[in-house]
Amino acid sequence: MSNTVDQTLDELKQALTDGDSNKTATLTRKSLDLGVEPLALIQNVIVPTLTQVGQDFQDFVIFLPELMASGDAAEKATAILEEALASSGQQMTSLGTVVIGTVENDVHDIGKNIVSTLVRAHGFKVVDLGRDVAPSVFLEAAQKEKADIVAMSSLMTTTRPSILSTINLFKEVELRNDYKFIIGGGSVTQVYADEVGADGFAPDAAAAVEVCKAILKK
Amino acid sequence: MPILDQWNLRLDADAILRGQGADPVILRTRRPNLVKIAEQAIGEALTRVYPIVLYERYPVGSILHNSIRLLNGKEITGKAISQYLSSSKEVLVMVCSIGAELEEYASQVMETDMVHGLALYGAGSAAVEALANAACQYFEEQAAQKNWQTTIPLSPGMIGWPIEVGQPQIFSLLDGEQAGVKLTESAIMLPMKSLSLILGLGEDLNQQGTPCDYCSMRDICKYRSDHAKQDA
Repeated sequence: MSNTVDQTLDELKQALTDGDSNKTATLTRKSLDLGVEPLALIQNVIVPTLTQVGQDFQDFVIFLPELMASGDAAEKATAILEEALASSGQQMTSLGTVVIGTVENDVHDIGKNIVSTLVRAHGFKVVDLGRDVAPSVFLEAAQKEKADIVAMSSLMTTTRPSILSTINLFKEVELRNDYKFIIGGGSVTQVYADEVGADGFAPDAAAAVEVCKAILKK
Repeated sequence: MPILDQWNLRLDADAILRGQGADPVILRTRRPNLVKIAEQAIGEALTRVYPIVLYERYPVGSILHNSIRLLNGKEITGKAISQYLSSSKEVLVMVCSIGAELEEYASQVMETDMVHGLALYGAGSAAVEALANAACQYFEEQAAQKNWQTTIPLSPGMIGWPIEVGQPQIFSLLDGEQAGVKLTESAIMLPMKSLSLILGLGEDLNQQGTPCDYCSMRDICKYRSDHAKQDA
């Protein structure tokens, strides 16, 4: 790699870390112009940088708006790279499909939106069902989208039972084992995840990405 | 039921950043662009908030082990309730809301610009908190006029007053619809940027502690240090 390319990629990493969307977009285009392959950019720059940002968030080094800004910048870069891949007749390989929503009776969706953004930026296909999502809607979407993971968020202890109702519906129609279930949100703990038989629990958005990756490796 | 709707809310970027869970001092140095977004959100938010406080005062009848019984026969239960309100002659229940417009706008913005949308949500959180603080101060001043005091404000969801217990109790004492606030079956208030509170009123009240002592988020909350500083 030439010095110019190295420098551009370093600047791109910094722009992503800083959550500077405009600079990230400019440097992503510049990297492509310099001949860097879109997939190499994703694998060697975007994902590792975003992973580090996520780790910094989990380690309380950075705050939520900073995590969000980096996730947003990464999404913009990914959109440019997808376009570049498409124009050369290639397709970006998805790490898996995640159907995500805030559970029935719960209308709090900021946390879920943040998880969607970060998981998408890491290379998953995300189908966001929104908030107050009925168990049957999760089931229908999981089947239609051939989901790998069903991700549910619940902020309130009063809406937490909807997590169990959703998993139970999948059990009733004998599709529980076709999907991995991960849960998170203010009312959810690892103990609760174990109780309802979820496959994974994420205490925050950055952890949700790692849980999605780990769960599909198993 | 009395309604107060003339509030001059002030927001600053620091409050909005705290409303997003961030430390403003650090972000001012490290991410000035996020501070700018927060500053931009102030103007957008203030034109979309409609602050309103609905309240009612109830005389306390008797104090039970884990609850207080009001003269109208209704009971408010919870460890925090009995600990903090037991010396009160009256309780004042209130719902503070800034309306739905800001959260609807924030949701729309979030679809295309997450960072901006998050700042607007932060602005909503900061606005409703500022309203609740202003309301508590107003009632404290009212109480002082007859040499009474107010307790710390307690909200459902604090440790010792579970949300599913506290919210229905408050809404059984207040007609939230008068302030445009509805309680769902899951004990969620709509609009979401609403707060329900209870204050004890009387003489020689237990005023020790802070709301943070009873907050379930106390170990991870970025606000806590600021409250601690104010209380010091």
